[in-house]
Amino acid sequence: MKTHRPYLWFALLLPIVAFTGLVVRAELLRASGSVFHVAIVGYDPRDLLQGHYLRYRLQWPTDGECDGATCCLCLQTSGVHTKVACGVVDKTCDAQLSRPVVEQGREFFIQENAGPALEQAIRRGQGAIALNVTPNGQVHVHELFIDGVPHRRWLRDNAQRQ
Amino acid sequence: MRLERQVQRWQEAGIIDASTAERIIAHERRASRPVLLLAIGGLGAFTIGVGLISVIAANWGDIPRLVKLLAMLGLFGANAYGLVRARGRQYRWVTDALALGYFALTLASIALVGQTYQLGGEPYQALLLWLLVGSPVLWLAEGAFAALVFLGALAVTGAFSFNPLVDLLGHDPHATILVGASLGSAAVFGPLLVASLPTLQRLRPAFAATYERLGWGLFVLAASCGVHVWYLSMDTNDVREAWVGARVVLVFVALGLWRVQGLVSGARADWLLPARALIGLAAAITGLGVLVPHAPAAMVGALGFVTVWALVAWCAYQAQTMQIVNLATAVIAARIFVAYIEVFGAMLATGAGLIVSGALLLALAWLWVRKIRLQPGGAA
Repeated sequence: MKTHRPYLWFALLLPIVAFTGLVVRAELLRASGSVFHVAIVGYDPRDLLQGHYLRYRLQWPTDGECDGATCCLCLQTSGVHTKVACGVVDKTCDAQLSRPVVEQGREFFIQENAGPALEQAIRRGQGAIALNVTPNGQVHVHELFIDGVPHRRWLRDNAQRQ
Repeated sequence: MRLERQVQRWQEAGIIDASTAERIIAHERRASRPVLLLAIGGLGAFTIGVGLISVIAANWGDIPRLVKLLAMLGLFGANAYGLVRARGRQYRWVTDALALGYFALTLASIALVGQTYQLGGEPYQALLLWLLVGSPVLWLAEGAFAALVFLGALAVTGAFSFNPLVDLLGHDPHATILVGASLGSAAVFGPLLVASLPTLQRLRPAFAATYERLGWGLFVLAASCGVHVWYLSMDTNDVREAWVGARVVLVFVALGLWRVQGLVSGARADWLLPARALIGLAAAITGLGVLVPHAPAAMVGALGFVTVWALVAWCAYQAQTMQIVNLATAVIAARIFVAYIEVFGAMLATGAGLIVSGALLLALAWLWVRKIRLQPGGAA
Protein backbone atom coordinates (compact mmCIF):
# COMPACT_ATOMS: atom_id res chain seq x y z
CA MET A 1 0.00 0.00 0.00
CA LYS A 2 1.54 3.29 -1.11
CA THR A 3 1.47 6.31 1.15
CA HIS A 4 1.54 9.74 -0.42
CA ARG A 5 4.85 11.51 0.09
CA PRO A 6 3.36 14.71 1.63
CA TYR A 7 1.49 12.56 4.18
CA LEU A 8 4.71 10.67 5.01
CA TRP A 9 6.53 13.92 5.76
CA PHE A 10 3.56 15.27 7.71
CA ALA A 11 3.43 12.12 9.89
CA LEU A 12 7.18 12.16 10.46
CA LEU A 13 7.60 15.88 11.10
CA LEU A 14 4.56 16.39 13.35
CA PRO A 15 6.08 14.68 16.46
CA ILE A 16 9.41 16.46 15.89
CA VAL A 17 7.68 19.84 15.60
CA ALA A 18 5.65 19.10 18.75
CA PHE A 19 8.78 18.03 20.64
CA THR A 20 10.66 21.15 19.55
CA GLY A 21 7.66 23.29 20.47
CA LEU A 22 7.48 21.76 23.94
CA VAL A 23 11.20 22.38 24.49
CA VAL A 24 11.01 26.00 23.28
CA ARG A 25 7.94 26.64 25.45
CA ALA A 26 9.65 25.13 28.50
CA GLU A 27 12.79 27.20 27.88
CA LEU A 28 10.74 30.40 27.52
CA LEU A 29 8.82 29.66 30.73
CA ARG A 30 12.10 28.96 32.49
CA ALA A 31 13.58 32.25 31.36
CA SER A 32 10.55 34.38 32.29
CA GLY A 33 11.14 36.15 35.58
CA SER A 34 13.58 36.02 38.45
CA VAL A 35 14.59 32.79 40.16
CA PHE A 36 13.55 32.39 43.82
CA HIS A 37 14.67 29.82 46.35
CA VAL A 38 11.72 28.65 48.48
CA ALA A 39 11.93 26.21 51.40
CA ILE A 40 9.93 23.00 51.02
CA VAL A 41 8.33 20.35 53.23
CA GLY A 42 7.33 16.78 52.45
CA TYR A 43 3.86 16.53 50.91
CA ASP A 44 3.10 13.27 52.70
CA PRO A 45 4.91 13.02 56.09
CA ARG A 46 4.83 9.18 55.95
CA ASP A 47 6.24 8.65 52.47
CA LEU A 48 7.86 11.39 50.40
CA LEU A 49 8.90 9.07 47.59
CA GLN A 50 6.74 7.82 44.78
CA GLY A 51 8.87 5.87 42.29
CA HIS A 52 11.35 8.35 40.84
CA TYR A 53 9.52 11.33 42.29
CA LEU A 54 10.00 13.22 45.52
CA ARG A 55 6.69 14.68 46.68
CA TYR A 56 6.77 18.06 48.37
CA ARG A 57 5.04 21.39 48.73
CA LEU A 58 6.25 24.94 49.27
CA GLN A 59 6.64 26.07 52.85
CA TRP A 60 4.94 29.17 54.25
CA PRO A 61 7.41 31.59 55.88
CA THR A 62 6.81 32.50 59.53
CA ASP A 63 7.31 36.24 58.78
CA GLY A 64 4.47 38.48 57.65
CA GLU A 65 1.47 40.38 58.96
CA CYS A 66 -1.10 38.30 57.16
CA ASP A 67 -2.70 35.24 58.72
CA GLY A 68 -5.50 33.15 57.27
CA ALA A 69 -6.96 31.86 54.05
CA THR A 70 -6.54 35.10 52.10
CA CYS A 71 -2.75 35.19 52.40
CA CYS A 72 -0.39 35.02 49.45
CA LEU A 73 3.30 34.17 49.45
CA CYS A 74 5.37 37.25 48.67
CA LEU A 75 8.57 36.19 46.90
CA GLN A 76 11.63 38.43 46.96
CA THR A 77 14.87 37.95 45.05
CA SER A 78 16.71 38.68 48.29
CA GLY A 79 15.46 35.28 49.50
CA VAL A 80 13.45 36.74 52.38
CA HIS A 81 9.87 35.69 51.62
CA THR A 82 6.84 36.85 53.61
CA LYS A 83 3.10 36.39 53.87
CA VAL A 84 0.98 39.25 52.52
CA ALA A 85 -2.71 39.81 51.94
CA CYS A 86 -3.65 38.74 48.41
CA GLY A 87 -4.70 41.51 46.05
CA VAL A 88 -2.82 44.21 47.97
CA VAL A 89 -0.11 45.74 45.80
CA ASP A 90 3.13 45.26 47.68
CA LYS A 91 6.09 46.78 45.84
CA THR A 92 8.57 44.80 47.90
CA CYS A 93 7.22 41.57 46.32
CA ASP A 94 8.91 40.50 43.09
CA ALA A 95 6.20 37.84 42.62
CA GLN A 96 3.18 36.56 44.53
CA LEU A 97 1.80 33.04 44.84
CA SER A 98 -1.78 32.34 45.93
CA ARG A 99 -2.57 29.88 48.74
CA PRO A 100 -3.75 27.06 46.40
CA VAL A 101 -0.52 27.36 44.39
CA VAL A 102 1.62 27.30 47.55
CA GLU A 103 -0.23 24.36 49.09
CA GLN A 104 -0.45 22.30 45.91
CA GLY A 105 1.34 18.94 46.08
CA ARG A 106 4.30 18.81 43.69
CA GLU A 107 6.73 16.23 42.41
CA PHE A 108 10.43 16.46 41.60
CA PHE A 109 12.13 13.83 39.44
CA ILE A 110 15.14 12.24 41.16
CA GLN A 111 17.41 9.25 40.67
CA GLU A 112 15.83 6.36 42.53
CA ASN A 113 19.01 5.52 44.50
CA ALA A 114 19.18 9.11 45.74
CA GLY A 115 15.72 8.84 47.28
CA PRO A 116 16.45 7.87 50.91
CA ALA A 117 19.20 10.52 51.39
CA LEU A 118 17.07 13.29 49.89
CA GLU A 119 14.02 12.16 51.88
CA GLN A 120 16.01 12.45 55.12
CA ALA A 121 17.40 15.86 54.14
CA ILE A 122 13.90 17.20 53.43
CA ARG A 123 12.58 15.79 56.69
CA ARG A 124 15.38 17.73 58.46
CA GLY A 125 14.22 20.92 56.69
CA GLN A 126 17.34 21.28 54.52
CA GLY A 127 15.47 21.37 51.18
CA ALA A 128 14.58 24.31 48.96
CA ILE A 129 13.29 24.61 45.43
CA ALA A 130 14.57 27.11 42.87
CA LEU A 131 11.65 28.36 40.81
CA ASN A 132 10.45 31.23 38.72
CA VAL A 133 6.93 32.56 38.34
CA THR A 134 5.61 33.07 34.82
CA PRO A 135 3.55 36.21 33.98
CA ASN A 136 0.32 34.16 34.26
CA GLY A 137 1.21 33.00 37.77
CA GLN A 138 2.46 29.49 36.94
CA VAL A 139 5.35 28.09 38.96
CA HIS A 140 8.22 26.72 36.92
CA VAL A 141 10.64 24.56 38.88
CA HIS A 142 14.38 24.70 38.12
CA GLU A 143 16.29 22.69 40.68
CA LEU A 144 16.15 21.05 44.10
CA PHE A 145 18.66 22.50 46.53
CA ILE A 146 19.85 20.83 49.74
CA ASP A 147 21.75 23.03 52.20
CA GLY A 148 21.96 25.70 49.49
CA VAL A 149 23.67 23.52 46.85
CA PRO A 150 22.12 21.68 43.88
CA HIS A 151 20.96 18.26 45.05
CA ARG A 152 23.28 16.29 42.74
CA ARG A 153 26.34 18.12 44.04
CA TRP A 154 25.09 17.66 47.62
CA LEU A 155 24.68 13.91 46.97
CA ARG A 156 28.23 13.70 45.53
CA ASP A 157 29.72 15.64 48.47
CA ASN A 158 27.72 13.52 50.87
CA ALA A 159 28.98 10.28 49.27
CA GLN A 160 32.60 11.51 49.46
CA ARG A 161 32.25 12.45 53.13
CA GLN A 162 31.02 8.93 53.90
CA MET B 1 12.00 -23.75 -0.51
CA ARG B 2 8.84 -25.75 0.27
CA LEU B 3 6.73 -23.11 -1.39
CA GLU B 4 8.87 -23.12 -4.56
CA ARG B 5 8.58 -26.92 -4.80
CA GLN B 6 4.85 -26.80 -4.26
CA VAL B 7 4.34 -24.07 -6.86
CA GLN B 8 6.53 -26.03 -9.29
CA ARG B 9 4.32 -29.12 -8.75
CA TRP B 10 1.17 -27.09 -9.45
CA GLN B 11 2.81 -25.70 -12.58
CA GLU B 12 3.82 -29.18 -13.76
CA ALA B 13 0.27 -30.43 -13.11
CA GLY B 14 -1.02 -27.62 -15.32
CA ILE B 15 -3.00 -25.95 -12.51
CA ILE B 16 -1.17 -22.63 -12.87
CA ASP B 17 0.98 -21.09 -15.59
CA ALA B 18 4.53 -19.72 -15.25
CA SER B 19 3.53 -16.10 -14.72
CA THR B 20 1.03 -17.05 -11.99
CA ALA B 21 3.72 -19.16 -10.31
CA GLU B 22 6.09 -16.18 -10.33
CA ARG B 23 3.41 -13.90 -8.92
CA ILE B 24 2.58 -16.37 -6.11
CA ILE B 25 6.24 -16.72 -5.11
CA ALA B 26 6.77 -12.92 -5.24
CA HIS B 27 3.66 -12.33 -3.14
CA GLU B 28 4.54 -14.93 -0.50
CA ARG B 29 8.13 -13.65 -0.25
CA ARG B 30 6.84 -10.13 0.29
CA ALA B 31 4.42 -11.23 2.99
CA SER B 32 6.66 -13.84 4.65
CA ARG B 33 8.41 -13.20 7.95
CA PRO B 34 11.74 -14.95 8.65
CA VAL B 35 10.67 -16.03 12.14
CA LEU B 36 13.96 -17.57 13.40
CA LEU B 37 16.04 -14.71 12.03
CA LEU B 38 13.63 -12.23 13.57
CA ALA B 39 13.71 -14.04 16.92
CA ILE B 40 17.53 -14.12 17.11
CA GLY B 41 17.84 -10.57 15.77
CA GLY B 42 15.14 -9.38 18.15
CA LEU B 43 16.83 -11.05 21.13
CA GLY B 44 20.18 -9.48 20.21
CA ALA B 45 18.65 -6.03 19.74
CA PHE B 46 16.69 -6.42 22.99
CA THR B 47 19.86 -7.34 24.94
CA ILE B 48 21.79 -4.40 23.50
CA GLY B 49 18.82 -2.14 24.20
CA VAL B 50 18.52 -3.24 27.84
CA GLY B 51 22.28 -2.79 28.33
CA LEU B 52 22.22 0.69 26.82
CA ILE B 53 19.18 1.68 28.86
CA SER B 54 20.89 0.43 32.05
CA VAL B 55 24.04 2.46 31.36
CA ILE B 56 22.03 5.57 30.50
CA ALA B 57 19.67 5.13 33.48
CA ALA B 58 22.57 4.78 35.93
CA ASN B 59 24.01 8.11 34.75
CA TRP B 60 20.75 9.83 33.82
CA GLY B 61 21.03 12.60 36.39
CA ASP B 62 24.53 13.52 35.23
CA ILE B 63 23.68 13.76 31.53
CA PRO B 64 23.23 17.43 30.58
CA ARG B 65 19.78 18.54 29.48
CA LEU B 66 20.94 19.58 26.02
CA VAL B 67 22.52 16.17 25.39
CA LYS B 68 19.30 14.37 26.33
CA LEU B 69 17.20 16.57 24.05
CA LEU B 70 19.62 16.28 21.13
CA ALA B 71 19.78 12.50 21.60
CA MET B 72 15.99 12.39 21.34
CA LEU B 73 16.13 14.41 18.11
CA GLY B 74 18.79 11.97 16.85
CA LEU B 75 16.53 9.00 17.62
CA PHE B 76 13.66 10.70 15.81
CA GLY B 77 15.94 11.36 12.82
CA ALA B 78 17.25 7.77 12.66
CA ASN B 79 13.75 6.28 12.95
CA ALA B 80 12.34 8.70 10.34
CA TYR B 81 15.22 7.90 7.95
CA GLY B 82 14.46 4.18 8.38
CA LEU B 83 10.78 4.76 7.61
CA VAL B 84 11.54 6.79 4.48
CA ARG B 85 13.95 4.07 3.26
CA ALA B 86 11.57 1.21 4.12
CA ARG B 87 8.61 2.84 2.36
CA GLY B 88 7.49 0.82 -0.64
CA ARG B 89 10.02 -1.98 0.02
CA GLN B 90 8.93 -5.60 0.00
CA TYR B 91 9.23 -6.25 3.76
CA ARG B 92 6.10 -4.61 5.16
CA TRP B 93 6.87 -5.70 8.71
CA VAL B 94 9.94 -3.41 8.76
CA THR B 95 7.73 -0.40 8.02
CA ASP B 96 5.22 -1.57 10.65
CA ALA B 97 7.94 -2.00 13.31
CA LEU B 98 9.49 1.39 12.53
CA ALA B 99 6.09 3.13 12.58
CA LEU B 100 5.30 1.59 15.97
CA GLY B 101 8.78 2.60 17.19
CA TYR B 102 8.15 6.17 16.05
CA PHE B 103 4.79 6.19 17.86
CA ALA B 104 6.48 4.99 21.08
CA LEU B 105 9.30 7.50 20.61
CA THR B 106 6.73 10.31 20.43
CA LEU B 107 5.42 9.42 23.90
CA ALA B 108 8.99 9.10 25.19
CA SER B 109 9.83 12.58 23.84
CA ILE B 110 6.85 14.14 25.65
CA ALA B 111 7.82 12.36 28.86
CA LEU B 112 11.43 13.50 28.43
CA VAL B 113 10.44 17.17 28.21
CA GLY B 114 8.18 16.77 31.26
CA GLN B 115 10.93 15.12 33.26
CA THR B 116 13.82 17.32 32.10
CA TYR B 117 11.99 20.57 32.82
CA GLN B 118 10.16 19.24 35.91
CA LEU B 119 6.79 20.07 34.35
CA GLY B 120 4.09 18.95 36.73
CA GLY B 121 1.27 18.31 34.29
CA GLU B 122 -1.51 15.71 34.37
CA PRO B 123 -0.90 12.37 32.58
CA TYR B 124 -3.99 12.83 30.38
CA GLN B 125 -2.48 16.00 28.86
CA ALA B 126 0.63 14.11 27.77
CA LEU B 127 -1.46 11.19 26.47
CA LEU B 128 -3.79 13.46 24.48
CA LEU B 129 -0.84 15.26 22.90
CA TRP B 130 0.73 11.86 22.12
CA LEU B 131 -2.40 10.66 20.34
CA LEU B 132 -2.75 13.91 18.46
CA VAL B 133 0.78 14.16 17.09
CA GLY B 134 1.82 10.51 17.15
CA SER B 135 -1.18 8.75 15.59
CA PRO B 136 -0.60 9.88 11.97
CA VAL B 137 2.56 7.77 11.82
CA LEU B 138 0.55 4.60 12.60
CA TRP B 139 -1.24 5.09 9.28
CA LEU B 140 2.10 4.28 7.61
CA ALA B 141 1.85 0.77 9.08
CA GLU B 142 -0.46 -1.78 7.50
CA GLY B 143 -0.54 -4.68 9.96
CA ALA B 144 -3.19 -5.48 12.53
CA PHE B 145 -0.79 -4.90 15.44
CA ALA B 146 -0.59 -1.17 14.68
CA ALA B 147 -4.39 -1.02 14.74
CA LEU B 148 -4.42 -2.71 18.15
CA VAL B 149 -1.70 -0.41 19.51
CA PHE B 150 -3.71 2.63 18.44
CA LEU B 151 -6.81 1.26 20.13
CA GLY B 152 -4.80 0.49 23.29
CA ALA B 153 -3.42 4.04 23.34
CA LEU B 154 -6.94 5.40 22.87
CA ALA B 155 -8.28 3.24 25.71
CA VAL B 156 -5.51 4.31 28.11
CA THR B 157 -6.04 7.98 27.21
CA GLY B 158 -9.79 7.56 27.71
CA ALA B 159 -9.27 5.99 31.13
CA PHE B 160 -6.93 8.80 32.23
CA SER B 161 -9.29 11.46 30.84
CA PHE B 162 -12.35 10.29 32.80
CA ASN B 163 -11.64 12.14 36.06
CA PRO B 164 -10.43 15.38 34.38
CA LEU B 165 -13.60 15.39 32.25
CA VAL B 166 -15.73 14.98 35.37
CA ASP B 167 -13.73 17.78 37.03
CA LEU B 168 -14.29 19.96 33.97
CA LEU B 169 -18.04 19.42 34.24
CA GLY B 170 -18.00 20.47 37.89
CA HIS B 171 -18.45 17.07 39.61
CA ASP B 172 -22.14 17.09 38.73
CA PRO B 173 -23.49 13.53 39.30
CA HIS B 174 -25.37 13.66 35.99
CA ALA B 175 -22.21 14.76 34.21
CA THR B 176 -20.33 11.81 35.72
CA ILE B 177 -22.99 9.41 34.42
CA LEU B 178 -22.95 11.11 31.01
CA VAL B 179 -19.15 10.92 30.73
CA GLY B 180 -19.18 7.27 31.86
CA ALA B 181 -21.94 6.37 29.39
CA SER B 182 -20.17 8.17 26.54
CA LEU B 183 -16.78 6.55 27.15
CA GLY B 184 -18.37 3.13 27.77
CA SER B 185 -20.52 3.28 24.64
CA ALA B 186 -17.57 4.47 22.57
CA ALA B 187 -15.51 1.54 23.89
CA VAL B 188 -18.24 -0.99 23.00
CA PHE B 189 -19.42 0.41 19.65
CA GLY B 190 -16.34 2.43 18.56
CA PRO B 191 -14.35 -0.42 16.93
CA LEU B 192 -17.40 -1.65 14.97
CA LEU B 193 -18.29 1.86 13.77
CA VAL B 194 -14.71 2.56 12.69
CA ALA B 195 -14.46 -0.85 10.96
CA SER B 196 -17.53 0.00 8.89
CA LEU B 197 -15.85 3.04 7.29
CA PRO B 198 -15.34 2.39 3.56
CA THR B 199 -12.14 4.48 3.52
CA LEU B 200 -10.54 2.29 6.22
CA GLN B 201 -11.67 -0.90 4.48
CA ARG B 202 -10.18 0.30 1.18
CA LEU B 203 -6.89 1.76 2.43
CA ARG B 204 -6.13 -0.39 5.49
CA PRO B 205 -8.05 -3.68 5.19
CA ALA B 206 -6.07 -5.27 8.05
CA PHE B 207 -7.08 -2.41 10.38
CA ALA B 208 -10.75 -2.78 9.40
CA ALA B 209 -10.70 -6.58 9.85
CA THR B 210 -9.06 -6.28 13.29
CA TYR B 211 -11.51 -3.64 14.48
CA GLU B 212 -14.46 -5.68 13.18
CA ARG B 213 -13.38 -8.84 15.06
CA LEU B 214 -12.55 -6.89 18.19
CA GLY B 215 -15.75 -4.85 17.91
CA TRP B 216 -18.00 -7.91 17.74
CA GLY B 217 -16.07 -9.49 20.61
CA LEU B 218 -16.52 -6.41 22.77
CA PHE B 219 -20.18 -6.07 21.87
CA VAL B 220 -21.01 -9.70 22.68
CA LEU B 221 -19.05 -9.44 25.95
CA ALA B 222 -20.86 -6.22 26.90
CA ALA B 223 -24.24 -7.70 25.92
CA SER B 224 -23.54 -10.91 27.89
CA CYS B 225 -22.74 -8.85 30.99
CA GLY B 226 -25.45 -6.23 30.37
CA VAL B 227 -28.43 -8.63 30.29
CA HIS B 228 -27.50 -9.78 33.81
CA VAL B 229 -28.75 -6.42 35.10
CA TRP B 230 -32.06 -8.31 35.53
CA TYR B 231 -30.46 -10.11 38.49
CA LEU B 232 -30.54 -6.76 40.36
CA SER B 233 -33.50 -4.75 41.55
CA MET B 234 -33.98 -1.27 40.08
CA ASP B 235 -35.85 1.38 42.04
CA THR B 236 -37.07 4.71 40.70
CA ASN B 237 -33.86 6.51 41.75
CA ASP B 238 -31.68 4.05 39.83
CA VAL B 239 -33.93 4.36 36.82
CA ARG B 240 -33.84 8.17 36.94
CA GLU B 241 -30.03 8.07 36.91
CA ALA B 242 -29.98 5.48 34.11
CA TRP B 243 -32.12 7.71 31.89
CA VAL B 244 -29.36 10.36 32.00
CA GLY B 245 -26.90 8.11 30.18
CA ALA B 246 -29.55 6.30 28.11
CA ARG B 247 -29.70 9.01 25.45
CA VAL B 248 -26.00 8.64 24.65
CA VAL B 249 -26.23 4.83 24.58
CA LEU B 250 -29.30 5.04 22.31
CA VAL B 251 -27.37 7.18 19.83
CA PHE B 252 -24.59 4.58 19.71
CA VAL B 253 -27.11 1.70 19.34
CA ALA B 254 -28.79 3.54 16.46
CA LEU B 255 -25.41 4.18 14.83
CA GLY B 256 -24.53 0.50 15.29
CA LEU B 257 -27.81 -0.66 13.69
CA TRP B 258 -27.25 1.69 10.76
CA ARG B 259 -23.52 1.19 10.17
CA VAL B 260 -23.50 -2.60 10.52
CA GLN B 261 -24.40 -2.69 6.83
CA GLY B 262 -20.94 -1.25 6.15
CA LEU B 263 -19.44 -4.47 7.54
CA VAL B 264 -21.33 -6.69 5.13
CA SER B 265 -19.77 -7.40 1.77
CA GLY B 266 -22.04 -8.51 -1.08
CA ALA B 267 -21.29 -12.21 -0.66
CA ARG B 268 -22.00 -12.23 3.05
CA ALA B 269 -25.16 -10.11 3.13
CA ASP B 270 -27.12 -12.99 4.72
CA TRP B 271 -26.01 -12.12 8.21
CA LEU B 272 -27.12 -8.48 8.15
CA LEU B 273 -30.55 -9.33 9.63
CA PRO B 274 -29.23 -11.51 12.51
CA ALA B 275 -26.49 -8.93 13.21
CA ARG B 276 -29.12 -6.19 13.51
CA ALA B 277 -31.31 -8.48 15.61
CA LEU B 278 -28.34 -9.15 17.92
CA ILE B 279 -27.60 -5.44 18.43
CA GLY B 280 -31.27 -4.50 18.77
CA LEU B 281 -32.39 -7.30 21.08
CA ALA B 282 -29.32 -7.12 23.35
CA ALA B 283 -29.82 -3.34 23.65
CA ALA B 284 -33.56 -3.79 24.29
CA ILE B 285 -33.15 -6.46 27.02
CA THR B 286 -30.37 -4.51 28.76
CA GLY B 287 -32.17 -1.20 28.26
CA LEU B 288 -35.42 -2.49 29.80
CA GLY B 289 -33.37 -3.88 32.69
CA VAL B 290 -31.98 -0.47 33.59
CA LEU B 291 -34.79 1.85 32.46
CA VAL B 292 -37.81 0.11 34.03
CA PRO B 293 -38.15 -0.30 37.82
CA HIS B 294 -38.26 -4.00 38.71
CA ALA B 295 -37.50 -6.57 41.38
CA PRO B 296 -34.72 -9.11 40.70
CA ALA B 297 -35.80 -11.32 37.78
CA ALA B 298 -32.98 -13.82 37.31
CA MET B 299 -34.95 -15.82 34.74
CA VAL B 300 -35.11 -12.82 32.39
CA GLY B 301 -31.33 -12.30 32.76
CA ALA B 302 -30.59 -15.96 32.02
CA LEU B 303 -32.98 -16.05 29.04
CA GLY B 304 -31.49 -12.77 27.81
CA PHE B 305 -28.02 -14.32 27.91
CA VAL B 306 -29.20 -17.39 25.99
CA THR B 307 -30.94 -15.13 23.45
CA VAL B 308 -27.74 -13.11 22.89
CA TRP B 309 -25.71 -16.27 22.24
CA ALA B 310 -28.43 -17.82 20.09
CA LEU B 311 -28.28 -14.70 17.92
CA VAL B 312 -24.47 -14.95 17.86
CA ALA B 313 -24.87 -18.53 16.60
CA TRP B 314 -27.38 -17.40 13.95
CA CYS B 315 -25.02 -14.63 12.76
CA ALA B 316 -22.10 -17.04 12.59
CA TYR B 317 -24.21 -19.66 10.79
CA GLN B 318 -25.24 -17.13 8.16
CA ALA B 319 -21.64 -15.99 7.82
CA GLN B 320 -20.57 -19.68 7.63
CA THR B 321 -18.16 -19.33 10.55
CA MET B 322 -18.69 -22.73 12.10
CA GLN B 323 -16.17 -22.29 14.93
CA ILE B 324 -18.25 -19.41 16.28
CA VAL B 325 -21.47 -21.44 15.93
CA ASN B 326 -19.86 -24.21 17.98
CA LEU B 327 -18.57 -21.75 20.56
CA ALA B 328 -22.00 -20.12 20.89
CA THR B 329 -23.82 -23.42 21.36
CA ALA B 330 -21.21 -24.53 23.92
CA VAL B 331 -21.70 -21.26 25.83
CA ILE B 332 -25.51 -21.78 25.79
CA ALA B 333 -25.07 -25.32 27.10
CA ALA B 334 -22.78 -24.08 29.88
CA ARG B 335 -25.28 -21.33 30.75
CA ILE B 336 -28.12 -23.86 30.99
CA PHE B 337 -26.01 -25.82 33.47
CA VAL B 338 -25.31 -22.64 35.47
CA ALA B 339 -29.06 -21.88 35.46
CA TYR B 340 -29.73 -25.39 36.79
CA ILE B 341 -27.25 -24.78 39.63
CA GLU B 342 -28.87 -21.40 40.34
CA VAL B 343 -32.30 -23.01 40.65
CA PHE B 344 -31.41 -26.30 42.33
CA GLY B 345 -28.14 -25.22 43.98
CA ALA B 346 -29.30 -26.29 47.44
CA MET B 347 -29.79 -29.85 46.17
CA LEU B 348 -26.08 -30.11 45.34
CA ALA B 349 -25.47 -30.80 49.03
CA THR B 350 -27.28 -34.14 48.61
CA GLY B 351 -26.03 -37.21 46.78
CA ALA B 352 -29.12 -37.35 44.56
CA GLY B 353 -28.65 -33.69 43.59
CA LEU B 354 -25.05 -34.33 42.58
CA ILE B 355 -26.06 -37.36 40.48
CA VAL B 356 -28.80 -35.39 38.68
CA SER B 357 -26.50 -32.43 38.00
CA GLY B 358 -23.74 -34.73 36.72
CA ALA B 359 -26.26 -36.46 34.45
CA LEU B 360 -27.47 -33.10 33.14
CA LEU B 361 -23.89 -32.02 32.40
CA LEU B 362 -23.22 -35.27 30.52
CA ALA B 363 -26.50 -34.94 28.62
CA LEU B 364 -25.65 -31.37 27.59
CA ALA B 365 -22.16 -32.45 26.47
CA TRP B 366 -23.63 -35.36 24.47
CA LEU B 367 -26.26 -33.11 22.91
CA TRP B 368 -23.60 -30.59 21.92
CA VAL B 369 -21.13 -33.13 20.49
CA ARG B 370 -23.69 -35.30 18.66
CA LYS B 371 -26.49 -32.97 17.67
CA ILE B 372 -25.34 -29.35 17.70
CA ARG B 373 -21.60 -29.07 16.95
CA LEU B 374 -21.11 -28.45 13.28
CA GLN B 375 -18.34 -29.76 11.10
CA PRO B 376 -16.44 -27.37 8.79
CA GLY B 377 -18.67 -28.46 5.91
CA GLY B 378 -21.72 -27.31 7.84
CA ALA B 379 -23.06 -30.78 8.77
CA ALA B 380 -23.96 -31.73 12.35
